[in-house]
Amino acid sequence: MGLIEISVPGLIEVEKGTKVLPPNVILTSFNKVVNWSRFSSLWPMTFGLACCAIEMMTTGSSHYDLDRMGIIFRASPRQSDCLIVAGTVTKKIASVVRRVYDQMPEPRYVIAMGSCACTGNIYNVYSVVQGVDTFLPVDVYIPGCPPRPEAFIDGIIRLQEKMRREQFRWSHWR
Amino acid sequence: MTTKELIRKIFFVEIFKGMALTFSRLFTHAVTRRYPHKIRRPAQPGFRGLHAWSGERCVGCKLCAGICPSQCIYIATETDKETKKLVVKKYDIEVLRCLFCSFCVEACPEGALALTEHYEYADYSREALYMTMEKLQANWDKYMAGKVEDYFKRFWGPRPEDFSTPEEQAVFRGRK
Repeated sequence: MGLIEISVPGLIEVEKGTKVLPPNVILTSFNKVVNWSRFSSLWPMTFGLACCAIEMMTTGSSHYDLDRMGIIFRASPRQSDCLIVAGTVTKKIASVVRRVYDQMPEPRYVIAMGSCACTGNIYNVYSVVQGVDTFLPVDVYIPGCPPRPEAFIDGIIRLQEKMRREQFRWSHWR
Repeated sequence: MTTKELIRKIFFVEIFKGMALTFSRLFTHAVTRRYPHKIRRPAQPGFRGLHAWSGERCVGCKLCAGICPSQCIYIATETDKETKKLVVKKYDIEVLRCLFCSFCVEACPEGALALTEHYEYADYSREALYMTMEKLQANWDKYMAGKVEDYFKRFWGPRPEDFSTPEEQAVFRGRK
C-alpha cells in the first residue's frame, strides 16, 4: 500500500569514532507497530447527521471503497476508534455526539467533515453549534460543502499520517 | 398455474438469470477508483474548490463580502490619500465557513476571485484553513496560472471581456 515505512534506526555518533544506538530504539519500534496496527484498521462510528453523511456513504460504497484501507463502519461506539462528525450539529444533537464520543474507548479520533461540522457554515443561528471543536477535540478538519469523496479520503489519510507520528500513546507511564 | 410458470418455478429460472449476470460481471473491470495510490482523478473543469484571490485585480469594492451567504469574507480597506483609490489592507476568507456557492465569484466585477479545482486541503487546525491575503494570493499564483481567462470565459459567461457591466443592465451608475 505504500503506507508502511519502517526505517532501520541508524547509529548516532556521540564522539569522534564512538557510535551508539539512539535512545528508545525498542520503544520507538514498538510505537511503530502500535501505530501501524491502529491506522491500518481505523474503525469509524456509523454516525451521520446531514447531507455530508450521504457523501460519507458514497465513499464507503464500491466506487471509492473504504474497506480497502481497513476502514469498516461499526454500529457501536464501544468498538470504534474514530468519530466522523458529518453534517450540521444542532444543539439538540450535540449532547448525543458528546455521549457517543465519551462511550468510545481510547485511543479515539474525531474527524470534522464538511463546513457545518467545522464551523457551523451559514447556520450562524441560535440552534446550531458553531463547530464541533467547541465540545470535541477535533483531529482533522475537512472543508467542503459537502466535501467530495476524494477530499474525504484525503482527510482520512491525513488522520492516518497523524496517527503514524504518535509517540507512546499506548502507555500510561509516559 | 400454467405449465410455463410451473417449469419456471421448478427449475429456478430467475436464479439462473441472476447468476448469469453475476458471472458476466466476473470478467469486467472493478469500478473502484483506488484514489490515493493509483488514480488521482482531477476534478471536472469548473469544480468549485479552494479559493484564490488576486491582489492586482481586487479594487476593494466589498461586493463579494456583501453577497456571501455565510459572511465568511472579511475585508478592510483604506483610501490612499494621493490617488484617492481604495487599498485593500485585509482580505481574509474563512474557508471552513464557506459553502462554495461561488456567489462571490459571480459578484466580483473585476474577476479577482476564483474557486479553483483544488480540493485536497484537509488540515489539522482551524487556523490553517483561515485564508489570509498572502495564502489566497499564493493559491491564485499556484492554481490559476494560465487558466484565468479561460476560467472566466467558460464558467462565468456571458460576461464582457473587461468585466464591466453591460449597457442594458439596470444598475446604479451614480447620480447624473
